[in-house]
Order: sequence, then structure tokens, then C-alpha cells
Amino acid sequence: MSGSLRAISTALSTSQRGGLLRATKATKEVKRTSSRTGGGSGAPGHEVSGTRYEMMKQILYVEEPRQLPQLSTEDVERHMTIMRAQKIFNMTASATRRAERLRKFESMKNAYEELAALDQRLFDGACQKEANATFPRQMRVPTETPPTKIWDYLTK
Amino acid sequence: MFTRTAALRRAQRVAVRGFSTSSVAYESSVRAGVLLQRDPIVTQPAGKFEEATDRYFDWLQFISADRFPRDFFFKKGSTAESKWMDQEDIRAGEWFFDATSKPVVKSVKRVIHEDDMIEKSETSKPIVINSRETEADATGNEQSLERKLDRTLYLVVKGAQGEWTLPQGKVNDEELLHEAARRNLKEMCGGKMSVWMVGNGPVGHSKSGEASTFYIKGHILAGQAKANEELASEFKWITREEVEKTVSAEYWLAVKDMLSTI
Amino acid sequence: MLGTVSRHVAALRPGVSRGFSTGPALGYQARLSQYYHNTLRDDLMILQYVPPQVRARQEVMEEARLKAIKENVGGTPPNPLRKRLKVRPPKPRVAESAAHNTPYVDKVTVHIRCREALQNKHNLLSALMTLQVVTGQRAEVIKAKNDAAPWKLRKGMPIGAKVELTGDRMYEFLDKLVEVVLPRMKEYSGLPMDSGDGMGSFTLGFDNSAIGLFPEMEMVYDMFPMVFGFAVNIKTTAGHNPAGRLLLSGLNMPFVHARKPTTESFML
Repeated sequence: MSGSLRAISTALSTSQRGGLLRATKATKEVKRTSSRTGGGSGAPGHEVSGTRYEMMKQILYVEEPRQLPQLSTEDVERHMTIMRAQKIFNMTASATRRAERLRKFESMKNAYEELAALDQRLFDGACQKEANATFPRQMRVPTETPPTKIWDYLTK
Repeated sequence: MFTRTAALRRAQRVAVRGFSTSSVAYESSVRAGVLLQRDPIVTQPAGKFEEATDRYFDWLQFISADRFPRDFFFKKGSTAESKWMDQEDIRAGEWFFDATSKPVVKSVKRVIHEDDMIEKSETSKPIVINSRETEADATGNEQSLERKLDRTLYLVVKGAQGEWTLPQGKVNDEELLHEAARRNLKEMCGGKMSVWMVGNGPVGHSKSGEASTFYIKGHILAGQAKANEELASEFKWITREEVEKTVSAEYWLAVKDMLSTI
Repeated sequence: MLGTVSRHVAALRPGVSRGFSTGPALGYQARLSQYYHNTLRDDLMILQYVPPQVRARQEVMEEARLKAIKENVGGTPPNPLRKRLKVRPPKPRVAESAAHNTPYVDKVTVHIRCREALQNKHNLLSALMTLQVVTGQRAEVIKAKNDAAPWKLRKGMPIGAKVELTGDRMYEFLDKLVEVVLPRMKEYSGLPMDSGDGMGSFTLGFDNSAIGLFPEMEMVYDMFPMVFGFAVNIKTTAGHNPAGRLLLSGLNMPFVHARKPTTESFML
């Protein structure tokens, strides 16, 4: 998707419009192969699937995509501004995340150093790693909306 | 004879541990705590900017995408098809570019017979979406695990001296840090809960006087904490900002780097 | 293309941040991606941390091991090349612990090997369409790199289809695979613990009964004259298998444990 958007933005900036998604390499390749098979050796017994294959061919390689309208200069400018704002927003967000990760890492590193200075036995214990460590299956990926039973209180 | 030498050896070992280097002087000063968190349950809410750009890019993709092969995906006259047609009409009504460039779009909708519509309205049940604001948010119940669903919550306890801290306690002899942390959590607020500890090493430490407390991170997966009256009078599940308001300024400086802003 | 099926306009659902959608837009972060960045990444950082002094100790031991191997390996003295051939290259070094080098999923490749395309090239259309429906992204044709006489295969003949997924689309595909497809598969217990290519990348193979389990395929299953098995390759930046396994288990990929792991959650 981002690829197609990038294609759109380049097209907008260079004022070339139309046929944006068509010009992929894969398209051209199969166009050739399908025309080759379409020419002659249609195997017998394939009539039933034939119509469905025709439909797929139509969808994948024949139908033209929707065309973007002729854009005014303001439209193009507006679009480029939105793209820039989006980029800045993403950069700021990732910089914030990076800074947070960095302070968490420093906190952990300092704790290890302090522990090494205080007690070697505890430090060695803290450095032990499990060989087959995996995350527990009960950890939950956040969802768009809350579940009906929000939390399991283990009341059974 | 044998038992005597064994006892002697044990006594010697204790003596060696007692007098060798400075390790024992510090050993009592190391404490173990737990940074127990409840992970976000719902995704982050989109901000105004995100929502607006998202809508724009979504629309841009829509107007430039391949034509949707309706006949391939839907049976004629199916509910799924009519749902799709509704959406398609709404989308076709949107236009973010210059209004003059908007093409005239024909509605994709087919004429639906009246008896079809009656049948549909009877069968389709409206989906009720649960609110992201829960009851605990409304009542301000800070002990509930069902509050602030899009944030990470941390367990803090009120100690015997009336100070709010992360759950913590002593490290016994022959006990490793993560074992001590686990035991302390159990003693302090071990109700019925399922916990997963992240590794054996500390994620941060705090100092008060001679004692250094090292925190091991954990996730609560199910269940709820229960304050043990002797060690902790109260507990709370709170976000990073609320931790700042709850704990002392000195303690905050020590623990703030471990806590997530989300 | 499929993105248009179930996508709502945001205005339709004012209570929710974004209408349900099958394809990501640019301003949106997939939920699995959010989970990785907000929760998983910190844990991976903690679990992978090796303090500098411990790492130095490990490196000394590793060097000694390699040296011992090198010295023990035979090979006639006048033929140094042979000697070098016999020494197995050292394992890839694990990157030093730092805040920025926690492993992440780099790329997911879904591919279908379509041997039937040799008889009738139309069969390839089925594979291409399947991938497009399942991943929401246009598929590429794979061509044979070499001749293979027993299969009547010549170089350059189309033999399969593939899609390379990155970013949010990749996370959404993984999410679908883990939450919908794998639980509905009969007799699937998970990836074996010895899976992986040694560099932290994993490949899952599925037969042609699994493709119908994707929610997008259910509706249009009858439209496909031919269904294929497929392979999913998950490329991570972990560098070695245990770290890759850890990462994937965090993304809810099931693993079959030979022993019960010590990191299992416990009751208090």
C-alpha cells in the first residue's frame, strides 16, 4: 500500500497521472505468459474453470485502475504538505520511543553495575539466562475495543 | 565424629563468610522489589492528526485502487454485497481534492425490494461496542485492574511507614534476586494472581540510606493483588503520571526511568 | 483491492479511533505493531541483556574454543587449503546488548509453489489471486532459475508466486495467521523448538487445506479452480534461533516445548 502511495506522490510531484499501479514488473511478465497460453494450447476438460480463470485474468491484468483526476496546483501542494506533516509526525513519534527505550536501557545497565559492585553472587544469579525462554501464551495483544470480560480475576 | 567435623566445617564456612571481604556488610543492604505491570488492553487512541491523515490516505488509496471485482467476491443479492454497496456509496461521497475536480459518481446500489428490506431489518443484530471508559474510570477506583485500558498500569503499595513504593523486601541468605523478588511480592500482596517475571536481572534500582533495592520486571496475567495488612496497608494500580504524584520526589527520581509513558 | 471490502469511513464509527479495516493506511499502526513497540520490545531488551563483563568473559571462552578446534583439525601440512575447508566457520556473533538492537520482524514472505503451472499456465492465476486475496498485496511471479529435465522445466518458466510483506501489512498478516488460521487447523501444536535457519528466521509450510481458513478466502473459496499449499517465511533480525524464537513467541506464535520452560507464569 505504501508503495502505491509512494507511486502516487511521485506521480503527483512530476505531474504524471494515470496507470500508476499498472506499471509493476510482475504485471508485464504475466501479461506475456497469459497471452502465450491464451493463444493455443488450452487443455481439454478445463472449460468449467475456464470462466473463472477468465475472470481472474480480467481482475489481475486487464481492468484498468481508477484514474486520479486532473489536480490543481493547490491540490498537489496540499498533498505534499500532508505527506511532509505525516513524515515529521512519524519521526517525532519514533524519536520519543527511542528516547524512552534508551532511558530504560540505561536504568537497567546502571542497576547491573550497582549490583556487581555490591554483591557478586547476586550479580551472577541475575546474569543467568534460560535456554528455551518464550513469552507466556496468556499475554494479550491489545484490541481495538475492550473485551466483554475485561479482566480475569481467577474467581473460580 | 563425622557429624562433628561436618558441623565444624559449617561453622567455619559461616565464619569465613562473616569475616571475609566486605560482602556480608552489603548483603543485608540489598533488597529486591518487583515492577509489576498490567499491559494495555486496548490499542492507543488515534489523535486528531492521526485520524485526519489516516482518513485522507485511506481515501487516496480508495480513489486510485483497482476497481473492486464485486462479482468475484459477492453472490448477487447477498447481505454482504449490500453492506459493501452502502460503504461504497458513503466513500464515493467524500472528496478531499478541489470540489470542481470531483467526478460524477453513479451509486453502485441496486434497487432493493421492499420485502427484502423487512427481512434484513429483522435478522441483523446491532453490534454493541464496549466503551473504552470503564466503570472503574468513572468511579475513580484505583485498585481496579479495569481502569485506563489503553495505558500500562503499575502496582504500588503503601508500606508500614506510610510511604508509597513498588512492592519490595529483604533478600535472604542463599536466595537470588529474582527468587527474593517473587517471595516479597507474594508476602506483600500475594492474593490470587498469575504473574510472569521477565528474566532474572534488575531493570532498575533505588537507594534509601544504606539499602539498595533492585527491581525485577513482571507482568500480571490474571488475578488481583491483595494487601497483606502486616506489610502493606494499601495497594494501587496506577499510570506513570500517577506514580509521580503518589510517591516521594526522591523515590520518583529513582524509578521514573523504568516506567512506560504509554 | 480487498481493502475496500470491509472498510468503513471513520465517520461511521465515531466511538472508535478507526473503522475496522483489512488494509493499513499510512497514519495507522497495526495492533500487533503497537504491541511490539509498547510492550514486547522492552521485555526483549531485558531478556537479551548481557552485561559487558559477562560478554567479555564469553568472548574469551569462545575464542579459546575456536582456537582449540582449529588446532585439532587435521589436514596434511602441504595442503593448507584442505585444512581451512575443514574448519567450520564460527557462529555469527550476537550483537552487543544495546537499546537499539532488540530483534524485530523484518519481512514476511508468503509463497506458493505451483507445479501445475507447467501443464497449464492459467493455474498460476489461481495462485496469484489467492495471495492477493490473503495478503491484500499484489503478488509476483517466480520463474525457474535453472533447467530441471525430469520435471520438464526450463529456465525462465513461471513456477510460483510470492508476496513480500513489510510494515503494518506484515503485522496484520501475522496477526491473522496466528489468531485465526493456526487455531483452526486440526492437529497443529506449534513450531518445533529446533526450527529456524540458525539466523533467527523461521519458515512455516502449510498444505492446501489451510488456505481456506483465512477469513478472506471463506467467502470466495468456490471461485478458485485450484487451491495450493503455501509457505510463510518470517525473517527476523535476531541473528540466532533462540532470540528469534523468543520474538515470535511474543507475537503469539505457538512453540512446542520439549520441556516445560522455566519462564512459565506462576501463581502467587
